[in-house]
Amino acid sequence: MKSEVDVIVIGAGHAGIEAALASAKLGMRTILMTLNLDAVGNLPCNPSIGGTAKGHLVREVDALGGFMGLAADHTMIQSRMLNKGKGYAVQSLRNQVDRALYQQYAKISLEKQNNLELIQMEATGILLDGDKVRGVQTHLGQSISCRAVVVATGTFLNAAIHIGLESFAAGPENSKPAKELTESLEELGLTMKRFKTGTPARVHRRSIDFAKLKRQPGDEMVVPFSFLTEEMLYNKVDCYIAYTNKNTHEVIKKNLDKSPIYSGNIHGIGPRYCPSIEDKVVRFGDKDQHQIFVEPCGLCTEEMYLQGMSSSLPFEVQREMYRTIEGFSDIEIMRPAYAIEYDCLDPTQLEPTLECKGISGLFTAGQINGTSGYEEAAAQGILAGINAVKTCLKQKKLILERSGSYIGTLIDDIVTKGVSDPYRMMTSRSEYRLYLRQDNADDRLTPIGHEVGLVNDDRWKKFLVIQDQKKAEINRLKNENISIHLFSKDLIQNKDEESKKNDVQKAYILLKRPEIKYEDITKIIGEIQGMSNWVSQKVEVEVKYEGYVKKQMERIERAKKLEGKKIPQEFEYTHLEGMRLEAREKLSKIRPKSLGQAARIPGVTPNDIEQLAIYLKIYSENTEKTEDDV
Amino acid sequence: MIRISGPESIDVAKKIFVPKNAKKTLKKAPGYSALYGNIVNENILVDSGIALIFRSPHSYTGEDTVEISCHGGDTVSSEVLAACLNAGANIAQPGEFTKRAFLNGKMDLQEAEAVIDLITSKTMQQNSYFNYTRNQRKTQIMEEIKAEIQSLMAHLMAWIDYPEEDVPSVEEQDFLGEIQKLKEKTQRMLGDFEKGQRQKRGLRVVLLGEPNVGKSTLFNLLVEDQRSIVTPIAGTTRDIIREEAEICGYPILLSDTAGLREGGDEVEEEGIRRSWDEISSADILVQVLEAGRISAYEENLVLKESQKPKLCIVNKSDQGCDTDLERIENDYDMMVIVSAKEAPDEARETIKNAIRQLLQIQPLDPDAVLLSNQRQRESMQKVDDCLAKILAFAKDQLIYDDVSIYLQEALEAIGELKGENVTDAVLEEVFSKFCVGK
Repeated sequence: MKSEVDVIVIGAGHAGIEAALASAKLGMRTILMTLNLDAVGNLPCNPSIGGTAKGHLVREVDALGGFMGLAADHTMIQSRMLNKGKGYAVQSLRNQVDRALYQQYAKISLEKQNNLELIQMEATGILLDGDKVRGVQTHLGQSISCRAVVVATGTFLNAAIHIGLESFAAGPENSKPAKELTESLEELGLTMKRFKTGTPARVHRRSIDFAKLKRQPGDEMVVPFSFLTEEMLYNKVDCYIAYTNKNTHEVIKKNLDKSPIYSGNIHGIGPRYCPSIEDKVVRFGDKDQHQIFVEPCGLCTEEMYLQGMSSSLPFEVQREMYRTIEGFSDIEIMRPAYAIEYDCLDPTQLEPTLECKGISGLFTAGQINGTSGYEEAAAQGILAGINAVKTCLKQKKLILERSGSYIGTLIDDIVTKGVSDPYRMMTSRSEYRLYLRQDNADDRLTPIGHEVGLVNDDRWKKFLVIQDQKKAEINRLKNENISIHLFSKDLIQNKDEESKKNDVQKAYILLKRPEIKYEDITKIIGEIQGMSNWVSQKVEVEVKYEGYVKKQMERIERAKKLEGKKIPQEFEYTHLEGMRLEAREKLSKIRPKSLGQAARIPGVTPNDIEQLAIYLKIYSENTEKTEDDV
Repeated sequence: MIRISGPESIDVAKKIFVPKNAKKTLKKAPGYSALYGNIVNENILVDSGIALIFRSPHSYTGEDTVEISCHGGDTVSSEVLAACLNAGANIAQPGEFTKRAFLNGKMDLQEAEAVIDLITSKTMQQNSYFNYTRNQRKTQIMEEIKAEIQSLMAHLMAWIDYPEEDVPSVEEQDFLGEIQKLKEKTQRMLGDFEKGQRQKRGLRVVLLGEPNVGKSTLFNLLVEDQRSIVTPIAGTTRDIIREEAEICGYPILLSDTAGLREGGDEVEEEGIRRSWDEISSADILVQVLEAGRISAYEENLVLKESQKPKLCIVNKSDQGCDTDLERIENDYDMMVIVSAKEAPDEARETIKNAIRQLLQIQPLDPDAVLLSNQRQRESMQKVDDCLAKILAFAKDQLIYDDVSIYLQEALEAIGELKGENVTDAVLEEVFSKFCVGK
């Protein structure tokens, strides 16, 4: 191991992988430290990548030149596009992946990367020189010099596993937790929080009676995550759906006193969106059943994952509970469900670059920032990696706007609002969701990835070709006239009077109709040879959403006015005596960069913002005056 | 009462107020205390009175404040005011105390607006009416609208963000039905606002007619006060004179225009030009004719072309009509015959009734919940527009991602109105209402 590098990444989970690859690809000498080389790119919870809004994140990471999309395609065993029929903007891709293969693929990709040294080593401390990072201390006593550090330790900091009233210090899969690093971060003045999350049991395939479950196959046409994936992908497995029943709920209620959460042994705050089965039964007592998705963990294993049944009840109770379920009467648990408690940072201590405020060169990414999920981790990892490089090169750091990506939305949310429970991305978190679609992730982010240097020339050329084809095809649609009688009768029946009078229309106008698909149009005007599915999908969605996107753009412009009202770094809130104390405290803590960001801080009301705007005006007038006097 | 507010208010008051009890000083007086003493302007006694002391932040504006109650009457109070100004105070701009109260966090925007409405309200009914806006009812209705939008939004977002879980699916017909119900509420509020605006702004009534047909007499009759100069010489009224009268609690802004005549001197031409401006902003045009000279009346083209309600008053009925009224009757929406001189009370009632009928003025429902100003109306209009857009989808099919954006905008608009940040409220509701999550 080198004793001096540019960037050190601590943790080889989904955030660490993206950060390390980005750093190394951009030419930095990089070390990636992991507690266990066999656990690189682990999927300690569900064996799937993507899902609502998370799928968007994966596409965005890919568009920037990241790793996750390619890995999810390469190891895909079943794929589904969720939310079909609810509008393109909220459609999300989800891949079931082969967990072991995913880890292998991640490990080999890291191993083959130039400039990157992958090593099994525990980081025990961050070394500073004043307010600048100078290196990392390891458990073997070395100190390695570097110019930037990305801490991506996931749930390992001070981790404790709970199963029933038993608990022991351990990270995911009973691995070694990281203890000293938390203390080191606290010594740097960072405030930590304690969160918890959980995972369901893995069970043996042969112990499930699949005849009693509902089969859930993958999509007929599989769409890849990565804009680079060209090979056709095929489903290899099915998933299944089972349901809990009254008996299951009885077992749970009877044993609540043995749950570490209900008995008070766990103090960490769990995710609202990912409740344990105990939570579901207690909080939604009127529901007679809850859904369980039975998902294979891979092709080379008989382990099955029971999504929806995360629990921290004692092992025997788990078995009793699972066995009440139709199809599970002989269930054989291979890994018990457990809850895990861990330390994380209060993310309001971070800049939107993911650098810790006041500590130059220290970045954090992933679950350590109070988020949850592989995709959320990867999204932060790639940005932290890019900005670690920018620190080394003394370049202006990259901030992704919330109006331009879900990655930007995620980061703006956590650094501005903080987190009260583990943060999961959802489409409802973005006010720009009609524009932030998965089909246009490359349009939005590949130019940024190219400018940063993560998108190589080959990919950039390919991107430009797609853009040209898209433009040309949209132009063609604007010029082609189609008689509506050429469409099949079912398609255009019951249509308004106007179209009867106006029976020849531009293809572009017709495609805007919800019932007409792009392929209905090309059946009439012919296809363009050599145009990929990517392009035809982009054309279809772009034409249909043009009006809405225009509206969103106006909103983005409006928002930019507030975002454009910068708050000077030195601006003091404490003496604004006219302002509510709560607002002053919140503003002093977050130190927003603009009036727009200030407006998103919870506890700061629109009235406070109006006051702040007046104070800022007075402030800038006074400063100008003073400058004039000089 | 004179109010002095600001960090130096006590220093200013000290210079003009000398407590009778020599042991007491304004400087040492605690908040909410009162002192009796003499009011002086540069050592000359002006009046005697009470000084009430408020210490920051426990005052209306949130600043140190002194309120001096002196003897009534314009002369005394203006002398006291002069004394304050001499002592270093600045005169307050309209609404300044309220503005300061807002800036100092003593009231929110809605309250501040309600106060300003109260200050500027014009008639008694208006006063009690706008007082009402400070009441709970408006807040309650807004809260209802907000809660309903939020609940629809939470259901929609739970259904979108958790496609595989047992969130009840959003049924198009039920959903649109809810939106329709909400829209009725927003429509009612917008309609009531228009009525309220009418009341606040007043109705513009423009009196037109040949010179010296008695417009000014009628004008005075309606405002029950002698303001226009009434002379027998044609063209006396050259300026627009505006005065207020009241019908059903609505202020009526009467303007008496220079007679519309071709030619005349320059002053008169200027008057005529202004009359045209008046006509274009009028709510109702009132043509005044003299009974004895109707035959001499030439058709007024402006009046004929205007789409505004038109009333014709035939005045001086005691003189008797010189011609058959049928000739001109069709030019107007209504015609009344009065004699302002002989039966003034009857004339006034007849004219007011006619205006009330033509403008369809209804007495205000004292229970109506009113948006207090243009800003609030705009926010409510935004809510209404968003709901309209969602309903417009119904003719094709609902595209839920777009629908969700309109709902979100409606929710933000109502948040703007209430001065609340609503962005996280939906998520809270998703998690509390729906059992979602793996």
